[in-house]
Amino acid sequence: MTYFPEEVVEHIFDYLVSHRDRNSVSLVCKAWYRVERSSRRSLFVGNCYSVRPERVPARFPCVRSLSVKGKPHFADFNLVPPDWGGFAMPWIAAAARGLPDLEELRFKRMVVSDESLELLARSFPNLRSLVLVSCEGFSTDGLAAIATHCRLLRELDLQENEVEDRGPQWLSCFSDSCTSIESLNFACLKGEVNAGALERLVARCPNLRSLRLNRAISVESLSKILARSPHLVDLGTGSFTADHRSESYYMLIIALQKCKSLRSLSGFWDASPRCLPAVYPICANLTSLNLSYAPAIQGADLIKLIRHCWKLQRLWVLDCIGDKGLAVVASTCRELQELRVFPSDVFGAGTACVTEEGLVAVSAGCPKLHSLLYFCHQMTNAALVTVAKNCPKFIRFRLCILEPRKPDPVTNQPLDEGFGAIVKSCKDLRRLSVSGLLTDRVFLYIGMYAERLEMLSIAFAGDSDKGMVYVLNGCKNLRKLEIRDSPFGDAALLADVGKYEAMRSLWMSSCDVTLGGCKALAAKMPRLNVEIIDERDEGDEMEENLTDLHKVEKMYVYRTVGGPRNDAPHFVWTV
Amino acid sequence: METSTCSKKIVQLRSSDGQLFEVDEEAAMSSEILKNMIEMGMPSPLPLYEVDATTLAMIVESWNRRLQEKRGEITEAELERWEEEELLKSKEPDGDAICVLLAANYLEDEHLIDRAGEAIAHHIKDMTVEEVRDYFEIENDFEREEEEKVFQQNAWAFH
Repeated sequence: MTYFPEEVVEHIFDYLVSHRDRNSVSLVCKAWYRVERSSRRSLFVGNCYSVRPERVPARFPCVRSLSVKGKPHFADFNLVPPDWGGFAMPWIAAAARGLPDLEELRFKRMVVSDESLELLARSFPNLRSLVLVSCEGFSTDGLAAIATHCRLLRELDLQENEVEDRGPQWLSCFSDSCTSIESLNFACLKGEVNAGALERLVARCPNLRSLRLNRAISVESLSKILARSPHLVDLGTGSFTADHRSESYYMLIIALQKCKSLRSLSGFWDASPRCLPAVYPICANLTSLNLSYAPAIQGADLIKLIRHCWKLQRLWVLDCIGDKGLAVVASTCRELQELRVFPSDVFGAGTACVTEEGLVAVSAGCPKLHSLLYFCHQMTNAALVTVAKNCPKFIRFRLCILEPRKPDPVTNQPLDEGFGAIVKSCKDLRRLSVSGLLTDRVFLYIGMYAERLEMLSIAFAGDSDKGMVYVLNGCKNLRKLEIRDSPFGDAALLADVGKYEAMRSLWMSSCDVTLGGCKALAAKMPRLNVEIIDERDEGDEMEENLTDLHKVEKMYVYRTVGGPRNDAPHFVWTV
Repeated sequence: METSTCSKKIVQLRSSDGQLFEVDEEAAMSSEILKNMIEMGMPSPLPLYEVDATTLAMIVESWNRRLQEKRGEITEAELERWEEEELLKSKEPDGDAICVLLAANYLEDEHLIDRAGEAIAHHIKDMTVEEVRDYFEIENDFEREEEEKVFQQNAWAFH
């Protein structure tokens, strides 16, 4: 056996970046484990409860970049009660003690308090990047602490968070000597922002490339900001409301024309259609356009805008684009890779919607399409078969028919064959959401063909336990399975208990799983946390009066090396 | 064995297995170790106790090529291609890259350390643990329990 000095091994590891490769080499032998752990710079924790936070700095004392995810995905649909958990504080505290050189921190779907942001701000003098996605629990006071203390900050990216507004002062907390900001996204903030402070901040940060403003920023302010930052690559426009005859609008046009580097646009909250021509000159360079917060841009104006954007790779729109609008996308945006169509009117059945026609058109016109999120009112098997043939390269395919259990409106059949065609054709499919009327048959197809599938979302689907069992038995790369309102019970849950140690997590709500089933699972698999979430009244009566036959409202199962949670609220118990 | 065509200072190196090599002094300065020896005025031949003749021949050739690139006799792209395909044999899974890396480390040749490190990393990317062990001829010295614990932590927490 050749002797490898540790520094030699480290030279090899310098070029191993993926978590998987790092994990592999750490197991080669004890010496390599030692070298790997002290040289790992970037860590990803997919489930914050899969390991105790203190383990991270203990094993990897030199990590500079940490990313942690908390709540299960169905929290996005309000299925996870607030106060369920996913607290960022223990992670920040552990990192503060053991990783003082931390440079990048990212939290997704976690509860982040102002107190924890204060601790964060004071503990990491080298912090360059803070990204918070779909988090809650903090206010603009927490942001003030970050702005005040993180002197080397380059990136502050707040995506889709619930932030309590405590005033506009936070932005003024960036010191006058702060010139390092490259990326600032505060689009999700609901309150006013000190426009003057923002303009000054932009003026002194020459490396600013990404700026996403919130709705409170006026067109006047936008023009001034753009005049100071003509090298922007990504812009969230703020409200974009102006009188198209006004001087502000004129200034905006001038400023936008100078922004030759702009490739990505979003915002447009209150955009008046008459103001849209201001962006036409830059549309030809756009690769990414997000109009999902712009219900005022509809019909002919929307189509006119899209006709200018022939280089688009990513498009997020509301369903008021209609099938006609999607046909224009299909003929204009030949480079399209990702399309998301969001519902503008979830409860009404109005004319503003898309159907299978729009999807078929896009699949025919956009051969590079690989990622789809599509909310619609109806879908047919024939359409899905056509889409599968046109676009075999799908990696993510999420179809959300708004009405649960809706069949193919032409044939009145379930959509089993349509989704079957998708999984059969798209061999690289990693993420799938199914909807509409579906029997066990669709799961037979998924189990049979979806070999690379990692995440599956099921709602109001299936006939019996067999459906879920097909999936558990078949999809060998499955990591996350989330199911709601489907008739899967204990037999399915217990059919292949070992499978859950090969997956990150399983979520089941409003299904037929009983307390007895959960207990049996927990007993057989002690290394899983089997959590039951039951939001009825507090008190012992909950545990005493329930028999094993009681159907569990919500269940969340995940593998963990950290043992049961010690921070669960009263309505969450680990069986 | 290649020698430079320009009339510059020559230095003699001796491999661990006794073979002598003549190298352009400027080329030999790619190695920090040799640079120090030369500057200290150590007598020729300079002994390299941990680099055998086969590997030293490859290293010397790589130094000569780097010198040619520096002098504009070959392009950077040509140098890179030679390094990837001939020196490190990135496309064929044999042990040359490992020998080069070990020698480059001993000789303290930063450029070669980076190149070889990168080539090897690229080769072992996506390998299983067993495959990596085989490639490097390394024995697993973990206790069964320890190994399982690390495996679990890796797969369940850090993935």
